[in-house]
Amino acid sequence: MQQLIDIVQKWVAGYLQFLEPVPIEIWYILFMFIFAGVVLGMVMLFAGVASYAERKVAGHMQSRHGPNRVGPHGVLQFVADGIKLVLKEDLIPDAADKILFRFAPYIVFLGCFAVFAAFPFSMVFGQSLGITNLNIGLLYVLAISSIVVVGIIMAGWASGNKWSLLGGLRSAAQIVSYEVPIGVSFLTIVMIAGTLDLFEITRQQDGGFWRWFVFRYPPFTMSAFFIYFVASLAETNRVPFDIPEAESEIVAGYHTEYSGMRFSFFYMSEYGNMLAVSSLATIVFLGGFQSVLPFHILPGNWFVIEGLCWFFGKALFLVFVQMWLRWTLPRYRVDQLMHLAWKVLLPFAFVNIMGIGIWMLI
Amino acid sequence: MIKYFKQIITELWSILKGMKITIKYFFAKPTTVQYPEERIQMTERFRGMVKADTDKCISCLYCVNICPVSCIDLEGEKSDAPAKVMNKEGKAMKRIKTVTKFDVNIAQCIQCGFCAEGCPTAAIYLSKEHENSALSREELIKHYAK
Ligand code: SF4
Ligand code: SF4
Repeated sequence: MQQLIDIVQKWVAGYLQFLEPVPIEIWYILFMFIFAGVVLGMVMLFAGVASYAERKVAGHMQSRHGPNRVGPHGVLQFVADGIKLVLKEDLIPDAADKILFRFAPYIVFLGCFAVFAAFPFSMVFGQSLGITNLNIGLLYVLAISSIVVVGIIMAGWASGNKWSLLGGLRSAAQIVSYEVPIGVSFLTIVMIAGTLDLFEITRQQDGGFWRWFVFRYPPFTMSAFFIYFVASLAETNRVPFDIPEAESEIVAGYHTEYSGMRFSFFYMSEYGNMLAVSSLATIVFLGGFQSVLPFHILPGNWFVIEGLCWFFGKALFLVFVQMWLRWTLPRYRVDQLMHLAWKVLLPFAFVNIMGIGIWMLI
Repeated sequence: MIKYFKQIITELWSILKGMKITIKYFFAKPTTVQYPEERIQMTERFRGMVKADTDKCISCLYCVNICPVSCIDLEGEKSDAPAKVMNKEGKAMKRIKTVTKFDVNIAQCIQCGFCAEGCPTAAIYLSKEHENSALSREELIKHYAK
């Protein structure tokens, strides 16, 4: 970001002499807003398109057509939905804790939105193309995505409704338990890469798909990837781990009382989260923006476009797999969910760590 | 211990099987019909809205009497020049009365088909039409007499 600001500052100074004394802090703040706006736009657009794609996928998997009324093949359905949600009345229950109730959706959204700050989407001038490049990127992503659970509990509590509270608590239990296998499965990669820097992790996977971390130490990293993927489904509260919402038991769980725009924030954060966990899996296990082939197709700095294509291609494929699983599997019971996290995923994740450790010793 | 691993393997295998089925349907052609644009062909024995051809009706009141819900309202008067109509067997018969009122309340009709079965001249019949919704009760009373 520093170099970018320098470039822009020089460029502006060349043309607009009078702007030169603008201090660097102002530029920083301006750029923060611009980048945040870009990411926000990206996440919102993705959430919209993904909600359309999800229904289309669901439709075709159930031998239906899915949405096909608004626009050609129904592609404008999400715009119509968005307009509807914006125009809807915003209801706040009497028993609700008003401040927390208003605040909760934004915290949930923040949790999924802030992780995008650390992702290297591609490479330019040997630097990562992203909002920022943290040397503790992986830790930051894991930490910031945990904020979601705070928002969910807030929403459940503030609704002043027993179903919402139960839904919020279930969700908290689920997310907290599944964060452990995620963390441990990332440890295997951190052991191999020797860094928490996401850009550095990606760069180590250069040179063909066999250099990706999934295929590097086959049984261990592959099972780490698998553990991460399963646990990330649970993190995003998606089927088969969608117990925070259960129509027959606790209605819509923590967002039972939400309507209109506030509801749509929960909705967007669900889809944003799907992209976030898929992107993270792409970066850590599937080589991020690195090509499948051992060489770059586009020369020099044009690689930035190719990198973006690879990155989003892989991430969107994982998003599709998530949808695919959603329309295939029935849901888990609460006890089965806990069984899976603590008795299956976690032991296997530890076995991976030991395996990688022994492999690296010999 | 063996049971534990066995269970994990069978679970994974069943998930893969399920995913195979869903992806097969994902690429298959949808079976639903886009209703207002496409319609399915009604079967031969489909019983839809009751319709009447008053030119054939001889006002025998058979249908009025047999209708279990009494939804047919029929009035006839003697005509000056009796016309000839064909009955179901193809024999010609005299039509002494003409129909002045032939109302069927399709909101009440249960589409049992008794009227059509008994009608000697096949004047009343069950069509294939099934889009019978209307905005008022009055619209549901169909007037077939001219
Ligand atoms: S179909 Fe049955 S209910 Fe309907 S008019 Fe005929 S006899 Fe009456
Ligand atoms: S049974 Fe047939 S011919 Fe007789 S009154 Fe009814 S419609 Fe007319």
